[in-house]
This record gives sequence, C-alpha cells and structure tokens, in this order.
Amino acid sequence: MLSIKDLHASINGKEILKGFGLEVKPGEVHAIMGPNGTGKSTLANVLAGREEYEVTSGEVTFQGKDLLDMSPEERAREGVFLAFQYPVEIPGVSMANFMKVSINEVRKHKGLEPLDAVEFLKVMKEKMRFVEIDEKLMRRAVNEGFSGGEKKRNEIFQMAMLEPTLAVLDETDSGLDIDALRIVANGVNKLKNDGNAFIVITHYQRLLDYIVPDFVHVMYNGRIVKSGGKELALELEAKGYDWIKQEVDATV
Amino acid sequence: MTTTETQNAVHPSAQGFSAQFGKLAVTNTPMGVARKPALEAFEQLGIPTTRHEDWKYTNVAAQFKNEAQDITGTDQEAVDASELNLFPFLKANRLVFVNGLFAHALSDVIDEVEGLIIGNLAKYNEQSHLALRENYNHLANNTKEAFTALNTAFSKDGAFIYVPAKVEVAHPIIVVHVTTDGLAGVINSRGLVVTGRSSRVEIIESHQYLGSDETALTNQVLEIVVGDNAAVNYHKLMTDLNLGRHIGNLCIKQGADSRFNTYVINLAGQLVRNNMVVAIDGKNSEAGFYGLYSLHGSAQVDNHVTVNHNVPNCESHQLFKGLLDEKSTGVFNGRIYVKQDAQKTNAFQSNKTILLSENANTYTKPQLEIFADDVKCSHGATTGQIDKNMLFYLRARGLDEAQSKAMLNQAFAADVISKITNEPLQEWLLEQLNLQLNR
Ligand SMILES: Nc1ncnc2c1ncn2[C@@H]1O[C@H](COP(=O)(O)OP(=O)(O)OP(=O)(O)O)[C@@H](O)[C@H]1O
Ligand SMILES: [Mg+2]
Repeated sequence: MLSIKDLHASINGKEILKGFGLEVKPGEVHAIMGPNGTGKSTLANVLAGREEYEVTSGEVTFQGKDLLDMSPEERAREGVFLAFQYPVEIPGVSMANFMKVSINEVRKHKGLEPLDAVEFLKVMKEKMRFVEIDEKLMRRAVNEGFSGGEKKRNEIFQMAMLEPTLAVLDETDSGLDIDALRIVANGVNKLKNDGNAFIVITHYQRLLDYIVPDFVHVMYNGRIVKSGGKELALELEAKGYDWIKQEVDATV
Repeated sequence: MTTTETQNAVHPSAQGFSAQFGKLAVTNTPMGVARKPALEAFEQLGIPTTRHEDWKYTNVAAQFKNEAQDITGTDQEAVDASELNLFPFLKANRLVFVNGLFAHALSDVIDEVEGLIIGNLAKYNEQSHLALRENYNHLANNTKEAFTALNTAFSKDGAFIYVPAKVEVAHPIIVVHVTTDGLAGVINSRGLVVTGRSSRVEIIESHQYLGSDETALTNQVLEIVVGDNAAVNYHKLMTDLNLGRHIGNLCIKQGADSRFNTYVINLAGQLVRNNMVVAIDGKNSEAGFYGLYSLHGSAQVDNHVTVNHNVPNCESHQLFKGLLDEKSTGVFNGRIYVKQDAQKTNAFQSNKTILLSENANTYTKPQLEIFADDVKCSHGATTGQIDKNMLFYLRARGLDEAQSKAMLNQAFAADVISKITNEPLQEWLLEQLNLQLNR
C-alpha cells in the first residue's frame, strides 16, 4: 500500500530525513518510536504533503501512485490521514462546517454523493459517540480552547469521519489520560480492517498494549535503525535508546 | 466683508462650488440658515490634499479634478425598485433616497407610534420641527471638516429619525442611499437621528451604486444624538457599492447610561472614507465601532475613528479588520481621547489586517491622548498573511487551497460580522462575504 524508499528531506536547508525506508501492507499496524528530534514528525508531515519540507531524493508510492507528486488535499482525498502532534487552533471556523466540507470533498473524490445536512449530522453524531467526544465541541471553532486531550480526541474523531486508507498518528497518545488513551486506542481498533493501515508514532509502549502493532521500528537520526515485533517496544521501554544509539554510532 | 476679499479667500478647489451656490434657494429654515456660513468655511478650507495629515493616504483631491460641482437631486426618475437591494428578508421600515432626495414611492414606514418620526429631513425642515431645529448641524464640524462644510452648504435631504422618550422602535429602519449611473459630480446627503431618554432604535443604512462604472461621488453627513439610557445600533453597509466613491462624516453624541454601536461593512467600493467621531458626554455609557473591509482591485477604504471620553465610567471598543487583496489599500486611524476627569475609562482599539497580495497596502495609526490617570486603555495593530499552519491543517483534510483560504478569510472577517446582533442581517452579511471571497 505504502512504499517509502531512501527518502531524504530537509527543512531550511537542514537535512532531517536521511534515507528513510518503509513498506506498509494493507491490514498492518506499524509503530515508530525513537528519541526526540529524530525526524518522526518530519516524516509524518512529508507524507501529508507539507510544503515547507523539501524532499531532496527518494520515492514514496501510495497504492501505486506517486504520493510526492500530489498536493496535500489530493493525498487526503486519496485516503492519507495525519493525526497531528500539535493540532492547530482555527478561530472562527466551526468544527461542524469544517468537517462537512472535508467529508464531502473526500466523498466527491471517491465518486460519492455529498452528504446533506441531515445525513451529515447523523454520521457526525455516530462518530462522536465512537470517540466519546463532547457534542458541544462540534459547535465550537476548530480546536479553539480545546484541552490537550480534547485536541487529540478530535483528531481521532476526524479520522473516524474520513475513514482513511492510511492513517499516520503522530503522538496521539501524548497528553491523554488513561481513559482517553483507551478510547483513542479502541477507535483505532474498530476502524482497523484488512484494507487499511496505520503508522503509529509514539514514545510509550503503553499505547501498544491497546493498539497491538505488527512491527515496531526505531527511528534515529532520520532513518529506521532497527525493526522488530511488538516485543521490541518492551525492550526499549526497559533499556532506553542508548544501546541502539551506540550500535548505530559504532557502525558509522 | 467686501466682494473682493471674499473672492480672494476662496480656495481654488472650492471655486466651482462657490459659483453654483448662488442658484441655491436659501430659506429661513434650520437647513437654510446653516448654508451660507458653511459655504464660507468650505471656501477657506478647500478640498484637502495628501499634504493634510488626516488625508495623507487618501488622495481625494484627485477625485475632484473635473467634478467640482454639486449635483444633489439629479435624475430622480431613473430608479426602479427591482434594481435595489431593499433587504426583503427583513421586516422593516424603509426610507429610500435617490441621488440625495427622498423617494416616497420606494419607501415604506410600518412602525407608527405617537411622536415617532421615520421620515425625511426636507419635509421636517420646512415645518422647522423642534428636534430638528435643536439638533441640526450641532455636532457636525463645519469649521474643520471641508466635506462637512460642503455638505451643510449643499445637501437638500436625507433621513430624519426622531424617537421620543421610552419608545422602542419595533422594527429596524432601513435607509437606502441610491446613486444612479453615469453621473459626474458630488451628491450631498444629510441625516439626523435624535433619540430620547430610554428609547431604542436600530438603523441599517445601505449605500448602493447602480451600474458598474464610476459615477458621482457621495458626500454624507449624519448626526446621531443618543439620549440618556437609550440604545442605538447603526449599520453602514457598503456591500452594493460597486465602484462607488463615498465620503462619510458621522458625528455622535451620547447621554448617560447609553449604548451606541456602529458597524461599518465594506465589501465593495472604489474609494471610501469614513470619519466617525463620538462624544461620550454622559456617565456609564458604552460606544462600539466595528469595521470590516474586504477589498480587491485598486479599492481603498479609509476609516478614521475618534472617541472622546469626556466623562467618567465609560467604555469604548474599536475593532477594525481588513482583508486586502490585489492592489487594494486599507487605512485605519483610531484616536482615543480621555479627558482629565474621565476616570475609570475603559477604551480598547484593535486593527487587524491580512494582506492577500504583495501589492496590497495597509496603514494604521493609533492616537492615544489620555489625561486621566485611572484608565484602562489598549490598542493593537497586526498585519500578516494567512497562517500557514492553519492552511495546511485544512488542506490535510481534503479542502483545496482556494477553499481553505476562503474559509480562513471568512473566519477572520466573520469576527466583526458576528458582533451584529440582528441575526438575519448577520447571516446575510456572512453570505455576501462568502460570495465576495469566492468570487
Ligand atoms: N522549521 C524548522 N527549521 C529547522 N529545523 C527544524 C524545523 N522543523 C523541525 N526542525 C528540526 O528537525 C528535527 C526533527 O524534528 P521532528 O519534529 O521531526 O522530530 P520528532 O522525531 O518528531 O521529535 P519529537 O519526538 O520531539 O516529536 C529537529 O531537530 C527539529 O528541531
Ligand atoms: Mg514529533
């Protein structure tokens, strides 16, 4: 479904991704862990099409298409979803209005009829229940004044609305209390099927108790330096990153 | 004064108007007696140039090259109701003025209360109505403002609204000023609103230019007297202005415990200057000035607000927002004056601009003159581009760039429109804004 080969990307002339590679098949969950500043969010943003990042070499194919060739909105319509590490507040744009335009753009791309106001409300209510998000938030401006946890939950709500083929969750578990963590994880598990895939960026093995990954990758200095099964996460939790850093630095 | 002296004193830019004045019927009425002194003041002042500090960014003199003549009242028959926006979605009183004169056939008054007047100045001037006699031309500054003086000398008609004490006008009063196509010159129109103690009224004024070419310049003076404990909401809508050129002088005086709000919305217009001056003369009062200008082409909107806090315990708000595209220009000049004994004044001012093009310009100038010590005052001005993070967030959810920008601009501007309490009007304006942003 997703194939990333030898990806190099930089921002403001500084290279962040340095030969990143990853293969994701339908039905899989990949966890990416790694120390702060190693480029995890950069990867997520490059996949979503953020223009400030310059891809200097490498390729990314998504369902047989060149992802790097698409605008951010085309990627979203094709089924790529990024749950932001820091969702931005947008005063004056109501959640409900924003989501209605969003879902209808994605539907249009898929050749589906747009949802009318009544249908939209129905879908929205259903998905809100799904992530146990307060209905009042939908009447407010996008993320404006939302608590840290509410913002993260709102990302999962949007994911549930758009039903993406590939979802990249960038530290969606950070700042969540135990209940919220369970709700977010349940949300992902319920959405998961044979046709879609998830890349879960996290610092905590705790999340992976709920969302069981097929693969765990360690990212360091702009690329994946170690991959394994879910037991790798436990090992990292116990031993930290130093042993991996030493391994990598020794081979350079 | 000898003839020679008078002629010598006439500013060159005023000469065209001076020559016309002789043909005007000067009657012994409140409007009539004010004309001559106003003309003389105008002859001294002349049309301001950009050397004049208050007109630094707005080259109004250039507009008067070939059009230095008064054409108030011309072409009365040229208008059909179907060409106008009469706000059919509002149940309201309607006063329509065509090129500065009252158009009876297009108007409709539904609120009839003892003593309440929703009418036109020319009629009540003839009768020398008490409220008109006592208030006409009292707030207008003829000695300093050239366009006010010009207006006092030449205007013939306009809205006259008198709300007696304790009367709450049930429906909004819509005042439509229509300017017909293909004219050259200045149309002077006047207005007077006098509200008694504990009264309430909502005025929606719309300036409409028919035709898509440049036509006459309109010069308006409106005086509003807000009684003690009265509440007045005044909207000045320039959504149907096309390439209109307009100069407005709004003068307000507030009594104690009063509320006055003005909303100035510019979604069109080629050259617009709005002067607004409020004298808060009674304690525990509030004044609000809210402005939105969303411009493109080479349009220019220039808002000058002066809030005079003359007494203690009052509050004022100024919020002006500009969305400037293409080669458009926004000017904001906000002056807050707090008199020495106006303690416990709260005065706030904010001007925010988004530049949508590299060729758009904004000039903003706050002026704070505070002579009292126990005062809360703030002012701020920001200029920026569309926020990149917000734009990306929307696009990452499938909205294209144009859609996303329109949505963000709408949100930025809606902040001002959302202050309007008349909900159907607010909704209509949001729609107009949406149309304009997605044009
Ligand atoms: N606009 C920028 N200009 C310069 N450097 C940047 C910019 N944005 C990010 N970086 C740098 O790129 C590196 C990678 O950042 P990134 O956010 O991808 O890390 P991360 O792995 O997601 O970290 P964390 O775990 O803290 O979220 C960091 O060193 C960061 O400072
Ligand atoms: Mg990160």
